[in-house]
Amino acid sequence: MFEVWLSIIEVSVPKPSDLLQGTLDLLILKTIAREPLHGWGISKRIQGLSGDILSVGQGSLYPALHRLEHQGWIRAEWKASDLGRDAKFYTLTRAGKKQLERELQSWERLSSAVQLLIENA
Amino acid sequence: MRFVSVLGHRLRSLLRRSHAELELQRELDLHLDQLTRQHVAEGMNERAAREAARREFGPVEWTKEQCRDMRRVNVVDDLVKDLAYAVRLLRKSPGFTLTAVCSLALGIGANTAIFSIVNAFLLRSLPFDHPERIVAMFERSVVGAEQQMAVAPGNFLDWQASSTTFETISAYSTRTATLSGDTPGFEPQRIVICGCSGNLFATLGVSPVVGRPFRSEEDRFGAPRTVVISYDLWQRQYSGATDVIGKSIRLSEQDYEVIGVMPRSVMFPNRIVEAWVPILTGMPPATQLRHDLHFLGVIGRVRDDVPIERARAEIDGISARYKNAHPNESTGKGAHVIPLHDFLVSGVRTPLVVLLAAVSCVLLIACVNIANLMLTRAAVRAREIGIRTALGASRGRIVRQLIAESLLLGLAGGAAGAALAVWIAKVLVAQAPGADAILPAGTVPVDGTVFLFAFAIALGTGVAVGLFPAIRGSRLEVTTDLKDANRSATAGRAHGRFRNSLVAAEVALSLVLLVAAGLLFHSFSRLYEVQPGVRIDHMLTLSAAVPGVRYPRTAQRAALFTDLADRVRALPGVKSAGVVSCAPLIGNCNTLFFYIEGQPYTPGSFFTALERSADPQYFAAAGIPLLRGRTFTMDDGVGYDAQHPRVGKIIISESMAKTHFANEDPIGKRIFFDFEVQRERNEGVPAPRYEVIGVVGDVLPALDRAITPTFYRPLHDVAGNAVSILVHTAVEPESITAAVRNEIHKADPGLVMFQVRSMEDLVGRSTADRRFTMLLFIAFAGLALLLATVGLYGVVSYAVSQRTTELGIRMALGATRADVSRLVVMQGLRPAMIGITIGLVSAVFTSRILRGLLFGVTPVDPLTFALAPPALLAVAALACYLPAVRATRLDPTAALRAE
Repeated sequence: MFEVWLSIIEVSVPKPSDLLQGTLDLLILKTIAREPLHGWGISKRIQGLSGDILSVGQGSLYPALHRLEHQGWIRAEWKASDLGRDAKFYTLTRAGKKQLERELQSWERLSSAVQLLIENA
Repeated sequence: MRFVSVLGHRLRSLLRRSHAELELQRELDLHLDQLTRQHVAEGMNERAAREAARREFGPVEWTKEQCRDMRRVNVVDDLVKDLAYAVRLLRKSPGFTLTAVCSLALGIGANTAIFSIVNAFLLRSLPFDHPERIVAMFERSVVGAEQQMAVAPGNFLDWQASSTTFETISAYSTRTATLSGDTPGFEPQRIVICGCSGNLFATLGVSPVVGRPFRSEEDRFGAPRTVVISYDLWQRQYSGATDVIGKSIRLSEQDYEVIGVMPRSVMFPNRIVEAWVPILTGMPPATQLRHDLHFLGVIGRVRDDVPIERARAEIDGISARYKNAHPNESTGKGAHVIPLHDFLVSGVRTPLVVLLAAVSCVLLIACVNIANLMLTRAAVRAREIGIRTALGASRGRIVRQLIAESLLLGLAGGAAGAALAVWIAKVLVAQAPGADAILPAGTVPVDGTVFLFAFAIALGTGVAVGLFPAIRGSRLEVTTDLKDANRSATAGRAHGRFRNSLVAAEVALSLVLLVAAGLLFHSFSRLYEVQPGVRIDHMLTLSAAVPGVRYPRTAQRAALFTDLADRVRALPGVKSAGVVSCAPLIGNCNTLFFYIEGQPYTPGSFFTALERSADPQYFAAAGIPLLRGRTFTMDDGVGYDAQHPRVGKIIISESMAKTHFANEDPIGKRIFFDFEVQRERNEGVPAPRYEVIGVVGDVLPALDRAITPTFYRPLHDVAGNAVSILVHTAVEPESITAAVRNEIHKADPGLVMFQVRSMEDLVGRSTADRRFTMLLFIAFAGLALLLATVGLYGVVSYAVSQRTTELGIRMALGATRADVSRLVVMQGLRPAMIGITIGLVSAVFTSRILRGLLFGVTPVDPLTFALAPPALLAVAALACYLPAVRATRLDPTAALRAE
């Protein structure tokens, strides 16, 4: 009984993706912070900038983009692209920039904590 | 800022759904194309590249669904989709839909209708200003520990003069009066008028719709007569013309100047009052000082800053001080207040609460029934649900889909129920006796609150009905369902147990209602076994009132009534006729306090009895037997003079004789009245003695009330302005009505005749409240029984259809038809038996709340408790038998091949 209620409520809570969810958000926000990008561009850039280590599956990327847009961190608009036709470009909103800073801070805290643990353990 | 963009985005996803879908498609296509191009660039051919891209991309539809899920408005989105799907499904099974909607409509309709009455009586506040500050005030402990005694004028004026916790205190007292007009053809009519304090308007916090309230100088003895008329009377007699102000109307042959019209919503003290006049105008100063004549209703407006408890303590103190200073007076030892609303609804609260409880049971049964049906459907749909789960629908999503369906049923049932409720409420208000205290005549008490209630329970039942089956339905294991959905022989055991407990619950609730209806029915039949003490058949009763102004003296009125009775006796078809001051079984007789001569006399410790006055022929006409002594003669009471009293004559009832003269002969014993002792002290008029000359049989004050000691006085001693005439006829009582009316008109055209009824009709009216409650309960119990039967039938039929194979095997192995039908019936009866047991135990506890509505039976009436369970069991057996018969008609070979 209880679990069903949970699952009903759950609908409004974004589902966790393959990557740690916060991390994926951070990667996307950071990637488009410099310039607006479309979904394909974002996935290529994440792959390229991480030296082919990180690859974001489409099944995670697009839902994440839609969620971020839904939350108002990013804004989408259709315009001509380098791919030869119109593409949906995502831009960071002002609220998104703040969110990015928060995400960066928490990432730094997390990674330094992990680092600390590894060094001292 | 973020809020605006978020809102815009959400609105777009919601409203421009097809557009958003298209964009999603384009966005993902672009990605796929890029992947393909990449592969082409790596040297694959076009087709292989596209294949590879697809593989790499993964399930496109799934990704899309994930994206859609990210837009939260999906909840609304899905709901619309779910509802559309539910509509399609429900239209596919009209039988189920109709059953469900109809039972919900009945349940919700009945609930809403009863609630509308409860709302009007108990929840809605009175149409006065700050009604919570208004209290009803009483004297307490005048006789014994009585908490609510009518107030004597002396006490009322004391409270008014010395209380500091009240803004205003007003008295009121209703009586009937004859309204007549100068215009020819204006038939004199009997109306109810209310004598009230001049400040009644201030106490209620209302003002007249036209004209002005009373001025304080108008509420004095001997002041010019003024009147405020009711909205109804204003419309009826003056077509709502505003120039009615200043006109004069004639009430009981006296002219009153109309100064105002009461608002339509104000029906104080009840809705039949048609005129208000200042109460002190006609009350002599000597009467105003009396502390022993208890006939006033009193209400007060407590000051804003005073808690009601303090107001109560204050007036209690005022009365107590008076009593201490005058211990000989028959007045209250203190006073009591209760909120006016509580006072007005005190008589209807219990029946209404009980009715609401009963009708909720009916709705509960309807819900359980539908839940059961839904469960059946969920089981049938297990395969469909399994497929949806396999395709990635989450459990919550499935539950929501199933709930959407029941929600739709609930809303449809609610809409039909609300329409039904308006109709039922109309019938209830028209039929409900005693609804006149608060509800304006002819209105339907259905308002916004009531519709909100209907909507809320529709929504509630919709979810409640669907939730359980939905949860159970969605719990099915994907793989077993896909494999198993049509393997009926193994259909879940747990499933069956749950459905059986639902049936047991239904049966238990039905039994509780059945017992309640049985108790009320038994009470009602007991009521008709009661010996009222008067003749009921071939009796016509009517009331007649004289204009008091033209007949100021008792002797004149007595002579007129005697003449009247003589005329009626002379009519053909009349066996005998008698005159009495207040009719048996309905009359509100005076209660008088008296002392017995020869017994130790302590002022203030008196006895009480009902007072009636009657003419010599009354006892024979009414069929009241004379047990000892004699009845009155025409001479008894003639020529009575209060200033020079001689010994009066009275006849007492059997119960009065037994109570006060248990071991002696009552004939020749004398009594005297407390009010005359008080008058002697106040005004010097000597208090007369009354000698018992006869003993007659007891007459009940009302069918459902206990015998009360009563004494009769000769009509010539006390003849008020109105009397009842009882006519014993040889023919149908109603057939002589016109002739009687004609004779009365001949005796004096100014006489008004009212309440012309046969005694049978009168008895029917006096039991109308009980009959009404009983009929409602029988209706509810019948409905509950019907629903429970349908529910049981459904469960057993379903079980039979699920066990076709098993039954086929049993028959193939040699089971006889009797074996099979016994098997099926027993399977259905087991939950019914459990339900009956639970119901019996619950009924023992719940029937206690009916105690106030019962007459002559206890809440654990053995007869009712003995009959209800077998009756229910018989109906249950029938419900199981029909599917069982179907099971026996199975052809074993066909049943086995069906798989």
